[in-house]
Amino acid sequence: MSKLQPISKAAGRVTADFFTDSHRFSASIVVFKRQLIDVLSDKLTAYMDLVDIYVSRINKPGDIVGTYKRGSLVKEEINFILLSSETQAISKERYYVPNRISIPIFVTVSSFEIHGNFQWMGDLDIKKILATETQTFLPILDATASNSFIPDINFQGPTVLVNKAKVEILCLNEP
Amino acid sequence: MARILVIDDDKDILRLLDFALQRVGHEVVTRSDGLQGLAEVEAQKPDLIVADVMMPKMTGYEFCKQVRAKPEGQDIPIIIFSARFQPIDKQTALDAGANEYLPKSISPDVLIKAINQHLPDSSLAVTSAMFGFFSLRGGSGVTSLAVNSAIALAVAAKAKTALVDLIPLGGHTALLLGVRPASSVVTALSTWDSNSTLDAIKPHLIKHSSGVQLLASTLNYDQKLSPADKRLTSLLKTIKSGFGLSIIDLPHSLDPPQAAILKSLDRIVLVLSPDVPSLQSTAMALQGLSRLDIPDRNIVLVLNQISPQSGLPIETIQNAIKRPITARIPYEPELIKAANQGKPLLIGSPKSAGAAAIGQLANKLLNS
Repeated sequence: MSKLQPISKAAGRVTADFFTDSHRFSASIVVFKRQLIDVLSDKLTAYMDLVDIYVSRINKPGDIVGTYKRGSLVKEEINFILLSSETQAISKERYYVPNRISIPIFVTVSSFEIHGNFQWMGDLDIKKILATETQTFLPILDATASNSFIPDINFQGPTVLVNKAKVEILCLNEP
Repeated sequence: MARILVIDDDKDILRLLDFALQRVGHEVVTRSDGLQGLAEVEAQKPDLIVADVMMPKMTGYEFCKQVRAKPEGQDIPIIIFSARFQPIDKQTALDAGANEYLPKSISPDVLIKAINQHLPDSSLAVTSAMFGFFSLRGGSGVTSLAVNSAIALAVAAKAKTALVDLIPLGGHTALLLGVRPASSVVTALSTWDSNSTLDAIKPHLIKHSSGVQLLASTLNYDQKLSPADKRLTSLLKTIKSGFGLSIIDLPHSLDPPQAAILKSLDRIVLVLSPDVPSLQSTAMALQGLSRLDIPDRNIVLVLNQISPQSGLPIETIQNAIKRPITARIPYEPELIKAANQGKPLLIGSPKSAGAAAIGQLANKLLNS
């Protein structure tokens, strides 16, 4: 039996948790035929149109303090985005490429520490990860994001997209 | 079978769960927001609720709190089913009164398993299930359905099965099975006391070739069965504990003495035919069963097409009684031959449409 896809209200709709310094927004974005990471990297607009937004404060991330039908999120304010599946984040072509190398990775963004795995093809050059990739968000798999000030507040998921512009440090071990 | 209320603003999810839950025999009611869900809980208490978190007008957490604040909502199992999948989300749901929290990324099979775990008495133990076949008026084909269902249930469950005819006088179960009883419920009761065991019943049973063992109705006018006989409840309890499955052909009455028997049944198969008099009797039967505090989930409605005329449409019937029909038995011309020959339909015409429908009913009862 097929799984219930969170992208279900309409084709091309992705539901995710968007984290800023102060809030968690559980919301959907219509990506049509694109991947979310491509929408995030679209430099023509600095905003993302969200629908069905459920607002939680970061110190009580389970409580919903507001619900809104539509909203516009400033991309550069996003620390990271938590997704329920890897395929929602990266293109199918990339997902199915064989011989990907998986490397444990650690990054910090303002107020969050993120552990997980980073996948890479070919020779690894740490500078290229942040500097030369065209995509503005970095996919980290099997990720855990802990709040730096309240470590008990943490979030886990199969995929986290980290805003490269917010990264303070990126660390990894050689494969 | 349980009545499950599913609340989600996503129509695709509602459709999928409606299909998946009906497929395993549950009755499903869908609503698209928490306010509608609360109204449904007040109108007709569900056996279990599956609710999303992210919904318009009211979040799933708030819905949980409001259900728990209602007297009728305190014991309804609630499963929160959400795209928010963090441990903190689960804790928030449990704090709000939910019994379980599942992410939407799971398969429906996992959800169904969780639902069954949270349903009270969710799976009838085949070792002790007792089904009563009932209608408030004669002529709906109740006895024929009870006899054939007993055979279908015995085959499907591979269980030791008893058929008890509680029609006060001249029941037809023996006739339909083609057996000639030398004893009856009344003669079994005549020596019954509080210390009696299954051994006291065995001499009164007739074993049919299908494996079903019959405790027949009396054919002697002077030995009419009294449903008020208090020993009857004790006798049925002993039969239930001694047989895997027990099928009772119930009298067409809702008199108070019968209440104890009705309450002891795991399911009451309420049989109706698609005509106005039967519909009226069924509505009254439902009212009566409700007065006796028989839970809705214990009542299984079966539409029995007893004549070749199509009669009232099933939608009209469901709208009139505000209940779903669990099974529909098509008109089966072979039934008359079966009755005349004393060879039940499931044995004489096992490939007929009627036999197939009764087989499906048996499976639904076993999985209810």
